[in-house]
This record gives sequence, C-alpha cells and structure tokens, in this order.
Amino acid sequence: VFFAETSGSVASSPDRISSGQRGVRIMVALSRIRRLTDGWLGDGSLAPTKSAIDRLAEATDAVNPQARISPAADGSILIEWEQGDREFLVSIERDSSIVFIEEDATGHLIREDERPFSSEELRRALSEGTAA
Amino acid sequence: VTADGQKLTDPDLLLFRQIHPAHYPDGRISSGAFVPGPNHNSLLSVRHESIGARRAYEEFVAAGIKSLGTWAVSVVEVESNPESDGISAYLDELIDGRPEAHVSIDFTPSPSRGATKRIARHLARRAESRGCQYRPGEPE
Repeated sequence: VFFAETSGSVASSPDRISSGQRGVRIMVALSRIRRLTDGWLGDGSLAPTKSAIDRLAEATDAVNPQARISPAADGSILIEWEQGDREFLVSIERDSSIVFIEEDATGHLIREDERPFSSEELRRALSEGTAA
Repeated sequence: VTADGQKLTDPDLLLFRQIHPAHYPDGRISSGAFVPGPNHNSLLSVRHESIGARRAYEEFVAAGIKSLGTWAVSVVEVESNPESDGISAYLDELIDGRPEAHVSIDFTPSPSRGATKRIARHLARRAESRGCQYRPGEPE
C-alpha cells in the first residue's frame, strides 16, 4: 500500500538504521508525497508544494531517524517523532512557515512556535528536537 | 464561519474518520489525518457512528479516495482537546449536499496553525489507542 510499509529492512528498526538507510527512507516518503495532487483527500484538499518538498529533502540529514513524514489536507508536510519522554512535530506549512511543537508523553505542551522559513530555521527545528 | 447543524453532546458517541495510506507511516496514525483542509472553513469531515464503520469506509472509497479503513474518536475526545474549549462536532447531514450521517468537527476556534496541529495530534492518538473499527476484508 501507498505509505503504509510496516515491514522490511527500511522501516522495521528505525532506531538502528544507518544514515544511508535514513536518507533512503526519507526520500521514499518524499517521492510519494511528491506524487500527490490537489484534491488527493477530497474536494478542497491541497498537496504540499514542490518547493516545500525540495526544502525538506535538502535537510534530510537533520531529520530524526525515527521520524514519520506525512502530508496534511491543508498542504503542509508533517515530521513527527518521539525521543525519550518527549514528542515532537515539525510542520512545513503551505506558505513554507515552520511550526514546531514539543510535548511530553502525556500531551502536555512544552513548546510551540511558528517561524518564517529559512533552511537554517528548518534544520534548527528538526535538530532541536533531536538534541533534546 | 462556524459549522451548521446540530451540536453533538453525547460524550461517548463515536465519530468515524477514514485513514488515507499517506496518514499511516510506519503503522502509526499521522496527525495529518485529522487536519482540516483550508477550503472547508476549518471543518473536518467525519461520520456519525449510526452509519456503521463498514459503510463509512465503502462510501468514502466509492468517491474515489483511498482509505486503509475506518478509525474513530469520541465526542468527548474532540471537546477535551488540549488547545480550545470551543472545538465541537456538529451533525450536518443533508445540508449543502452533505451525505447521511455527516458530521463536521469545527476547528474554527483553534487559535493558530500550531494549535490546529496539536488538536489533530490529540485526535490521532485517541483514534490509534481505540484501534481500527473496520478494515476492508474484515467483518464489521
């Protein structure tokens, strides 16, 4: 099925994958997002823009190895992962702004902010979570 | 703009949501599954439990959209989100051509895009904890 690979060497042990495997895993996810067109989730749903996909592709090395990448109907790309007792979400919005959310395992908010896009800010958002 | 229709108040009532394959990376439900589209006035489409999880799935895919199956959140889970007291579900079937048992979760009170993502994440967690309500090929 489309995005739902749950077995196999690429997805089965995300905490032990090499940087090369991580890159492959992320690029596979991005190539599938790239195939989406407006209306993919019904009337009014938007596909992520090519520039947003390209910008995330350029920051692959900053993405947590356990991160799950998916689109949303508002045209954003979500990167979600857990580390320790923290859960992280980075969203590249349709206008390329970056939303960062950090919660504890119970859903209590630790930090939430929205930043204008830059390559540095995207890498910082992805790395801040990984470094926490 | 807010939702039309009748506000649902039964806390245990289930609301069915279809999960697109893109929203199931590594076997986890993405927060993206519960983010409303921008052209729907911040309304997220779900179906009232009275329609049945199997029929909800079948009608969704009959419209040409992919789904792995039907998952669910409850009315109280919608209202107990971490960001806004005003997020509620409205039965708006047959209004403006919406189908039988159509329910809209109104995200209009969400104060920001980040808040909308947090609410969506909250709902995705609840749906994942409850488990799939119907998968094609399985009896309801």
